[in-house]
Amino acid sequence: MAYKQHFIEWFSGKQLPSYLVNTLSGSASHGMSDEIDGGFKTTCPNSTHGGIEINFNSTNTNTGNIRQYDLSSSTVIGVVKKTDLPTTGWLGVGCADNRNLGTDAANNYSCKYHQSASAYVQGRSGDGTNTTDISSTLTMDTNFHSYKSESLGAKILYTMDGSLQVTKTTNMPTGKGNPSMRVGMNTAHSGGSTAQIRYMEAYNT
Amino acid sequence: MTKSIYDQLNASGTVAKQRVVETFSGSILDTDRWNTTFNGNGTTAMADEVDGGLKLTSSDNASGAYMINFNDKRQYSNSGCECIFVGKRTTTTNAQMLGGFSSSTALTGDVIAVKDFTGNTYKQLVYAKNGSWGTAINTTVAIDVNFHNHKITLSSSSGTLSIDGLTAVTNSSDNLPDSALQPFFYSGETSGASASIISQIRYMECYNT
Repeated sequence: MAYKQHFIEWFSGKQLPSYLVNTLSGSASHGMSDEIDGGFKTTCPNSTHGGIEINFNSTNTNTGNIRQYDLSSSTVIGVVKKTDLPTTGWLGVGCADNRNLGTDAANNYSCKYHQSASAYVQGRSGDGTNTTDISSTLTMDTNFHSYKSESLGAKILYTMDGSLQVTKTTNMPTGKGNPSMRVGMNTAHSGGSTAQIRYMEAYNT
Repeated sequence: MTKSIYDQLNASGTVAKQRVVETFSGSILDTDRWNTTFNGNGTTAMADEVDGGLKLTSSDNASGAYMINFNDKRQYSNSGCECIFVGKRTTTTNAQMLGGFSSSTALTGDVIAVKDFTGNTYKQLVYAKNGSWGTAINTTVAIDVNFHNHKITLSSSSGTLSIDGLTAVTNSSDNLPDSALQPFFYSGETSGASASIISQIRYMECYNT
């Protein structure tokens, strides 16, 4: 079998690699963390629907998407943490066909935190029209966890810290996507919302 | 079936700690990842040589030195980390190569590293805490200008160096780093004479354990 597209990032070094672009909605702060095991730290702006995303989008518009991954046959793994838990905060790591992993209209899949929607980490997917979530049994916290989303066409498997937590068969994404990590908020929150990531891997299967 | 690199590096159910892998192959040094620190200018360049990796050349000033590091982004734990690098000292006189972990970009804080110095007979394990250097420990590997695989293993109670997997020396007595660390590689002048010093590196991997 010929080698398929495969991407790996360790988030260790002086600064974020320039091939991972921050897609911004409002002003935000971010940088490589000067902490043991800290990875890359990013804080979204304090505004309604404020968000910050790292992905392969080169222009911060949807014409700049670089999408090398098959949304119906790919896997994304992220080691991330929600550094804080504001009540309206949002964190996702997965794959989407545009520059906004949180958009309901996107073809997308991800593991996600959404404090105002569920107390549990969720598996999310969208088919370009509707995006829906299924909760795991894992409560949200502020520790690093590994999240693996495997899109297999007819279903998506969401494995969290090595345990298969969610199997989802509705709103399956199609088309091409780019790996993404997004932190955001539904409504304004003083200080924004912060997340960290120290590993990301994506590959077609 | 495509397998993830993650699952090959980490036992099922474990959350991966910080890691970096650098292969020093391409047209230029990845300056998103690496910071350069120097005394008296100097250069880095990818070597146009088979297995050449990255070439660090210090300035020809007296005490000239050139280092790559993470600009004080210290993500590696003094209580449990490892550094593997394949490097060499290229210049044959009045020269030293250092590689490993440091808490600062000037080697003035905590350090654990391998040293190949033309004034010595053997390659050494060197270490410092808060700028205070302990007594360097000789390995049984003679200094040379060949590439070697160096592996440094650090815990809160000991630091070990092995070279090419065949020999190991351990410091478990004093001056071990007690703060967070970053990887580094260094090429420097040792005599005060005016000469450019070259060292090369073609692989580095660091991770918390």
